[in-house]
Amino acid sequence: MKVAVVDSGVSVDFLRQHGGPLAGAASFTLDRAARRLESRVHSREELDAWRGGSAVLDDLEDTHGHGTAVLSLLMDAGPCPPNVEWYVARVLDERMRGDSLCLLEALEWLTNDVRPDLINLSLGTVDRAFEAPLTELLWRAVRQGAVVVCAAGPVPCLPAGLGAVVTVADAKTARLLGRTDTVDHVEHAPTVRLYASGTWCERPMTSSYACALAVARVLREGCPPDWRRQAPAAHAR
Amino acid sequence: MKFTSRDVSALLADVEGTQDLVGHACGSSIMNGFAFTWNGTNWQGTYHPQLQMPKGEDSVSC
Repeated sequence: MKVAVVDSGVSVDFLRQHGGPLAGAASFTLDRAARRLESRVHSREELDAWRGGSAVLDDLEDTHGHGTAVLSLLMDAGPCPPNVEWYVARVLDERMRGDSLCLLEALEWLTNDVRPDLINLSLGTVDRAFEAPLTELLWRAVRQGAVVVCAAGPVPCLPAGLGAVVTVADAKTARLLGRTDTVDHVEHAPTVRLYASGTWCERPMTSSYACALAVARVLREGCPPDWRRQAPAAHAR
Repeated sequence: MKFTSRDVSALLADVEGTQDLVGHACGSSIMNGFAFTWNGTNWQGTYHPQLQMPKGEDSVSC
């Protein structure tokens, strides 16, 4: 089973001490001045060398901590199926911010080269400029058999609420959204145990972490039948 | 490493602001009943009133 996390990368220290090897990883950045989108896709051998300490991959290093926290929730939530392969796409920077174009490019990479079974998207945007291509890419992933789980934001945003994704929120975010957005699943626990700043700790539950917990549950207990999306005819090519 | 770089000038013409994408752990904040999220240019808020009963001798707590 292939599990992909699109976020702020991963701390190599976490991978060395607590996580497993990565099967694939890539980073996506937008150079606005040059108006160019840059992609760096790393091989399994390069990733093993990074984890082993004989190579440096700065473009993947999580300088914020959000992606590492999400990955720690996925890896620490209990015994995983033995055949899990982990993939990381870095699209958020040290301020946990990024560009929708990078999310689109990450989904292009995942659907063309990886074809994951599970995708964790603990992020979102209120800009709807790329709603059409984002929708198309997410349905492509679904047609390939993926379950795409996305965190809801405090206000309606994308890709949360799109038909192709399972939208997850913590209890507070779900209350804020009320009836203004679709939420498929709510995590009610007030806190969560995760890896942050070099140690395991309890943190308040957020929509991001609720999303990761939902993905972890799918990984270990199987996918609820109503979380398997069916692409509408227009997208079912 | 496989490195690619492509021109996205045409796509950027459709985008307002910068860095619109945020993680949902702390890319938002809640103040005085408003939930704010960063849209790349501005903090965008939605009002969610949080009503509370006043506490005093002539009020009840439920």
